[in-house]
Amino acid sequence: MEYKLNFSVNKQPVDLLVEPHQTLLEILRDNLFLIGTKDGCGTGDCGSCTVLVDGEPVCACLMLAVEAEGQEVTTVEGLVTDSELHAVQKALIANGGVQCGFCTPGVLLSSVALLTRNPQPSEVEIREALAGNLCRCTGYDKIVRAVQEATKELEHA
Amino acid sequence: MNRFDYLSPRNLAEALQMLSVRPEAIPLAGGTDILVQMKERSRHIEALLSLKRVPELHQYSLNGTLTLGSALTVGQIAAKQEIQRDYTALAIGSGLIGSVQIRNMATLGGNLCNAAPSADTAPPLLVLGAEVVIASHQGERVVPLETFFLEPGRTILQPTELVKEIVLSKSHTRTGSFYIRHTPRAGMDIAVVGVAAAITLNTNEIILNARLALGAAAPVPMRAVQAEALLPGHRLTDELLREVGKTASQEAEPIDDLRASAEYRRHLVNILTQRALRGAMAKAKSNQGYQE
Amino acid sequence: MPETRSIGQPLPRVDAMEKVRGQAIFAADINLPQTLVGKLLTSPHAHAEILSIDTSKAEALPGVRAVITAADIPEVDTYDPDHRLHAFLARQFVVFAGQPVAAVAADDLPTAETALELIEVEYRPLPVVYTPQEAILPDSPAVSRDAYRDSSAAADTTAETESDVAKEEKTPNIFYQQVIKGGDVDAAFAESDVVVEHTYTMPTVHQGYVEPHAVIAFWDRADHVTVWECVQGAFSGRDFIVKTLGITPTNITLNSTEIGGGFGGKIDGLFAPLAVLLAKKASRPVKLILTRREEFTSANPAPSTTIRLKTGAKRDGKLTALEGEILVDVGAFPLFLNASFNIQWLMLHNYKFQAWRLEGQDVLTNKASAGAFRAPVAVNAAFAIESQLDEIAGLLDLDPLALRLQNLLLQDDLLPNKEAQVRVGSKEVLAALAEHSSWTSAPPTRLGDDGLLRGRGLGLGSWGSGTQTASAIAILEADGKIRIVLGTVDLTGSYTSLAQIAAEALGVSVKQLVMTKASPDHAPFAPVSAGSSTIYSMGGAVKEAALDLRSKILNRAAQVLQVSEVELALNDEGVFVSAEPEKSRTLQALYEMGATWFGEYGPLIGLGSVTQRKPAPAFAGSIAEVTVDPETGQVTLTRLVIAQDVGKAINPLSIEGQIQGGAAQSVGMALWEEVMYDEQGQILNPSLLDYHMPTAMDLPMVETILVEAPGGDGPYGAKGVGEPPIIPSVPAVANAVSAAIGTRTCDLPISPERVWRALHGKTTS
Ligand code: FES
Ligand code: FES
Repeated sequence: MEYKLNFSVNKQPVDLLVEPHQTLLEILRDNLFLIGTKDGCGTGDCGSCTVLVDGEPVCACLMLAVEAEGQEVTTVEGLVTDSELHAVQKALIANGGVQCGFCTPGVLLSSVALLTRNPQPSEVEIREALAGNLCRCTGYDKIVRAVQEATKELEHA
Repeated sequence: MNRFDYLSPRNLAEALQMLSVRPEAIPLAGGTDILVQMKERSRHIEALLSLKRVPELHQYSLNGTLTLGSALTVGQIAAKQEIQRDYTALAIGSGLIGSVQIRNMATLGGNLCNAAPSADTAPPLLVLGAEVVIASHQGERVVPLETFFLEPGRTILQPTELVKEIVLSKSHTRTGSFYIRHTPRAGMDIAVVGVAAAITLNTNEIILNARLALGAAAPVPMRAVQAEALLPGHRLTDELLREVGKTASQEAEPIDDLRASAEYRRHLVNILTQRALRGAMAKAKSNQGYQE
Repeated sequence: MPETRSIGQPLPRVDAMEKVRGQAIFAADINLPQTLVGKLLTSPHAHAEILSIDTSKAEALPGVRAVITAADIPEVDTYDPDHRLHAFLARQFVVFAGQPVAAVAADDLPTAETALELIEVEYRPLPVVYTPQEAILPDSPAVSRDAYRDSSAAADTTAETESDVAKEEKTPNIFYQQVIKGGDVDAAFAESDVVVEHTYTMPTVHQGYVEPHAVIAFWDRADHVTVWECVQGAFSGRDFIVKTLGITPTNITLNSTEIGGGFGGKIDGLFAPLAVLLAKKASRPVKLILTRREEFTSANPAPSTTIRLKTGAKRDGKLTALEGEILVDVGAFPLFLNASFNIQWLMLHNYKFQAWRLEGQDVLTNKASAGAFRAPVAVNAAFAIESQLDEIAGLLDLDPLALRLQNLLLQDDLLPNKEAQVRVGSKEVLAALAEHSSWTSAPPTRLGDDGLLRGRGLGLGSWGSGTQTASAIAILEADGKIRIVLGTVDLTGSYTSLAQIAAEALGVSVKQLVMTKASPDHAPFAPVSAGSSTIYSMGGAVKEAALDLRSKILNRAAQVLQVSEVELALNDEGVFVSAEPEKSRTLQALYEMGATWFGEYGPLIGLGSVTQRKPAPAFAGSIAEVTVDPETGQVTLTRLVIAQDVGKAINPLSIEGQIQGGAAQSVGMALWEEVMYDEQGQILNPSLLDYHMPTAMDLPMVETILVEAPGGDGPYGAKGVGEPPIIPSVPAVANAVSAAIGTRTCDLPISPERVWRALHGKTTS
């Protein structure tokens, strides 16, 4: 049986029919073609599927799409406003925080959510916020530095 | 994942009604465990009963007693300042589960109903004297959390029942609680052993009341009653701490598994019991508690 | 040569913009119309005979478009039963739990999963060979019917070797065995003032790339298949399909997509033939993505090792003898290299000994067949030998860094095979660490006021730069830019560094360069991105192509401007006469001359094609500081410094990042990572929750020191960078822990429980 799902993705209203077994991740990737959100494990352990639901990071792989009814979802594609990159995006590029890039969308959303709720995070707080985003390429050093730099930039803005 | 029916009640009565008609339906709260089981096909599910839109299960009230709706996320609980202050162990335990993402999804009720021996909210709730309000279409019953767990993965819940809320009694002055766990990895891990402690002091810093609870140290989260009994009427000296730690480790019934040996777990119970008590003590000394 | 403008610049990756916008296309992101979902049915048994497979019920399920078993594999004369790559589907026997026995393609995931449950396989379980120690016993059951292999082939032929185990005594599970010896070992030990001996174990670990294997196959013509795949080499991936399915190379278009990490685990792709067969049978595109569980059970983790090692030294710290036995558990199929030989080689190439005798055995067991993982088995070698050097330094009360310096095997010293060592940078790496604040400061006091134990440790490791052949094309484009066409996979940011090399060679700025990745249909041969060879080999090819184009551009301009080439200079604007800059031609104008009706001149292209390059072993050294909670055994890494000889840092930003990532993996192996098996060969922790890779909370910042020592013949002095950083932090952390706790843990990972046991003299459970 299919359910009608109304929600918003990157500030755009979306309504479509979904089956209950479809995860939010599947709907984003396969139905809405928002391929920036990645599937690294499907079991909540890697964070590459991280999206914001009503502003909070969640694992889209463990959320049934039907459960997103009425909610606001933000994916990596929604971080760019008026073709301007978000400060964390810029800082990740400049600091070499992107290598293979598979973890990057999830890292971005976790970082953006962190800076929204805590504009002045310490290194420890940054690391805690990113603990659910496994990155096998960078050793996190340049990612953490990028978030630190973005913090400064946002402060000036 | 196999195909299943999705039931989406709008209030508690409707949810309980649906469950009475379809007792095979499994409640879906945060989904962080059940979806993994379904994806790995270790569990075949006919129907899921979504608790997301059942407002009664999302209630939060601090009104003398603390009432926590079972569908509150552990992230919400960890973030509440009054819980951090007056029910510290619970805030700590809730804040250690999984990652930020998982804590934004996983619920208090889910953490308890999965009945994992390592559930990080269980030892804190045990030392805080939590009661579980269980509802079905036939009415409600209230049980102490101690009697809730039966074995790994199994609780006293009947198929037609739901955990509605968790109730914690008023937090008293000079009461403090603490939770500490051991994991090899600092981030994203499961407790090898977790210990919660709660202490109430008199004005002379003599222990009036103490509770200890152990996670991942037995088939279900357990109170360490013999160890607790050593505390009332005393000051928390190093010697007493060692004695209590040792007693707790003897009370524990740990097993060998891929995370640790039983021997090491027993040792951790000893060490972490002492640390949890120290933490609870520090809190109790500073805590003026809920103002009456 | 123009002055250096591009080499050494810390430029951001050329693909960073797409990646932060979520626009980079990974294999799983490709959506063709009508694509089916592919799924694997894997064996629940680690060793069994397949008596029958009945797929009829699955085939009858609505929505199922194809089911394949070994019966669908075409017969090819390249079939090799001993090769992991041909085991993508089990034939008569399954030899590890997780080996695919069938696969389905269906309209959607639930249908595909249901179909798997409907496939009936009858197995006859066979004895499971669980440990290598058991596998080498003469009466051990065979891991696989075909397991016997002759060991004499791939040895270090110039070394003094012996084969002292009579062949007939061998079980078929030992497929490679070799003793390397030199000098009089007994005499050298007799002369030694200290001798240390331990057995070091390292478990199976996983590459842990965050992106699972993904492949899409589509038969777009009757005899032609197009494949999109995350694989470390487009040519190696194509070759795999050729060898397993007998399709001729030009009938395969293999598009290597963006790749979410490989680290050696995605060299061949492993699963492409399954997608190709399913797509053929279903006549529809098929997308096959591994689950994370399958990544653990069905892909190719790194081998585990047991190394008994004995080292002797004189009172002054001079090393005398090295003796030991190396046992490598490679799982169900032989490894692509002889792992124990690699360990022998690596142990004898960094330090000088008077005498040595190392016995090595590569052994099969019924576990997931091992593959490469970044500097394959170098970590295992370094853990053993670097632990021993540290222990010797402690016993002799010598500075561990000085002890290493004193014994380094340097240029012109003789290697075990009697060849002279080439120029290496091990001394420079140690010197850089010796000057670093983490080493010049006093070692941490063992027991701090906080009750924590503290220790500092050092480790050194090396890897020979990969030497592969490579080629590339440089094309002058319509807008005056230079397009480099290449078939290599950008695993590590190599396109950015290759653009810098090309820009440097041409004498233009990097923004003039357009890097175009092409499939083997459009690009000349490029080697697999592995073994730290991309910049070394591909960089050579790109440089040569760029220089070739530059000389052709200058030659053309000289003709047009009627001057000699030596009078000309080239920059972003074009070519001009140095003495009279107004006499010039833009690069665009030069392009147009070669792209016009009745043109006088042909288009300008440059070619690069390079052969085997000289070896340039690269060294990395690490200093780790840890605290240990004596009550719980918990180790916390508080500081990590890594120095690496990179020859010449083409792009310091990307090199630092690679080094930090390698160091993080190394720390993971030291402290947490282990694929656990039970006695039935089943993996106990096939998830990223239970297989513990470091999270952001587990690591400190990683301080990197780039050392630039000469050596090799890489472009602009570059050496291989990717492999070395994974090596030295394992021994550095182990040595730091041992300094903190005052005793040694010889088993990896150094888990809290192991530390606690070591501290309290408990035996391992
Ligand atoms: S894909 Fe969702 S956490 Fe890994
Ligand atoms: S950049 Fe590759 S996993 Fe993070």
